Amino acid sequence: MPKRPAAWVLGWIGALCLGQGVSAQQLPPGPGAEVLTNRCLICHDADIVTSQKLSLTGWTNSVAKMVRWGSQITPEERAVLQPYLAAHFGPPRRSSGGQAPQPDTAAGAATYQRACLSCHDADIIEQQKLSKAGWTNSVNKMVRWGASVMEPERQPLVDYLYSRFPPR
Amino acid sequence: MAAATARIAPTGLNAQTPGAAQRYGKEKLIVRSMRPPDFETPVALLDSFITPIEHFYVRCHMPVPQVDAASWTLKVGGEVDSPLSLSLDEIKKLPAHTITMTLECAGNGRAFFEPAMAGIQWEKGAVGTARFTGARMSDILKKAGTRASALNVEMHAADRPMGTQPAFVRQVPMTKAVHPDTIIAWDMNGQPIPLAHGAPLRAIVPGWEGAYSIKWLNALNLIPRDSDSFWVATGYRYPNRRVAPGAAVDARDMEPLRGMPVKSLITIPANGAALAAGKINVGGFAWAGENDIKAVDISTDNGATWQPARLTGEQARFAWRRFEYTLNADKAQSYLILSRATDSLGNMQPAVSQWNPSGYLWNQYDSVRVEVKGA
Repeated sequence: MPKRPAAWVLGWIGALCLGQGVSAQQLPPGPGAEVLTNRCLICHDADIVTSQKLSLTGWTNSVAKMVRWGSQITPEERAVLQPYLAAHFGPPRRSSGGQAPQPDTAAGAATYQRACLSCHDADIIEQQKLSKAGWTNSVNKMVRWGASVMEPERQPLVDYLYSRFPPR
Repeated sequence: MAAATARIAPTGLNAQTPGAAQRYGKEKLIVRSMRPPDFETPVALLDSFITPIEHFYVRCHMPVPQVDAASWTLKVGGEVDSPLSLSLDEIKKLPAHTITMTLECAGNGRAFFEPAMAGIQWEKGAVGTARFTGARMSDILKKAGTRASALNVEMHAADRPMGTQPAFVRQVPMTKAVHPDTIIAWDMNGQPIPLAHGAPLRAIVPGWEGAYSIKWLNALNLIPRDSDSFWVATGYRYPNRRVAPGAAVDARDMEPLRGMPVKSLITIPANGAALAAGKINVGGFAWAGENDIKAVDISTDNGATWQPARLTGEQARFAWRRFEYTLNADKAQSYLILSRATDSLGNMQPAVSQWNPSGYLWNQYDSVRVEVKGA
């Protein structure tokens, strides 16, 4: 019996399915997207991948199973794909405190440093996990309580806090 | 339940980190916030009936004030016949009364609610039990001559808000204020109340959520209405009906929190412990605000069946009660140990805590998971 009897069958079925699923353009960008398209989406629609919430270990095990089941993915491709999957389709985040702020939140970050950290330490803020509405309410309360946040600074601050400390 | 067992405080939050809680004598606590100081007790340190002061949680809305006990006065005014200003020595001459009380922050367990809400993300340890000694609030009010028009006692304190934050003013209804176990305390666990816990005078309103027991107390103002303080009119309120998680609740449908609900906490074994097969001692505390604990039951089959735990040790009206249970863990497997307390009125801990906008009164079954290896 050949080692991977089903590989050509899976590829053939996948070819029939192409065009029905999520296209590579809709996947989060990165070198993993190309591997995902070429090696996974030939058999699967993207939804079965994007609906998972697996750790790197979980994704490594899943890809290993797919290899046992006939995937032709190479070890080099796995080294790219598995971290990509864990980064974009990983478990809900416990904490986002260590993340670097996105460039477009620099204004909010500056307001955070100046207006929030003058009275609080970061600890009380970093433990929160609020929706954008929740952050808006919190910032509005602090402004009522004397935080020196000018009106044009308010929305960038909310955006920054939400980007760093979202629900998880 | 899974959320309750899965979330363990990162060690980096402990107060040993540079510049943290040493100055409050709270090195072993989890720092939730340094400014203002909010420190949580790790569950392992809650394994004694009386919580030592160095392990007692700290909750502040504002910076800890400077206090001078020698010049401290407690003013009593409003709906009284003769307004008073009492020194600490004058208060200490009144008959002393000692209360053993389990004090718990209304937001203890907030971190477990989904969706999350703003606030200190307490897990299990914003609770502790202490002995407080002081004068009865009723004796002090009697000296001033309470008028029949008095409906509530506003309690004012010496902590000063940051910015334009409202001052931390709370109210207690007259009926609770004159309860013989409501005191104005100067002593905690046999020593003058430490600064972080409200030196030199603290209201002790037993059985009610912790924020009634206000620290650095310096004035009682009797009023013929409800206080308009933010911390009465808006804060510490709870929906008058069950609401869906995440729901917005109209302020008119919110009512003040009072007594704390029935609850239990497993203090041994530790969550995540690896244990040898055989008899495992399970222990912890159960409490129910103003009510007594009638029973604590333990389940090791995910809540399908329950066995009674033994209630042991000291029994005090407003304090938690020790429970003990011997688990015969003869099989090498993972055990989820659940505890469920029932109070003297028949109220039982729920399987699922009721979500509410401020994340108060988390009291679902407590749970600890342990891994049992072959003997």
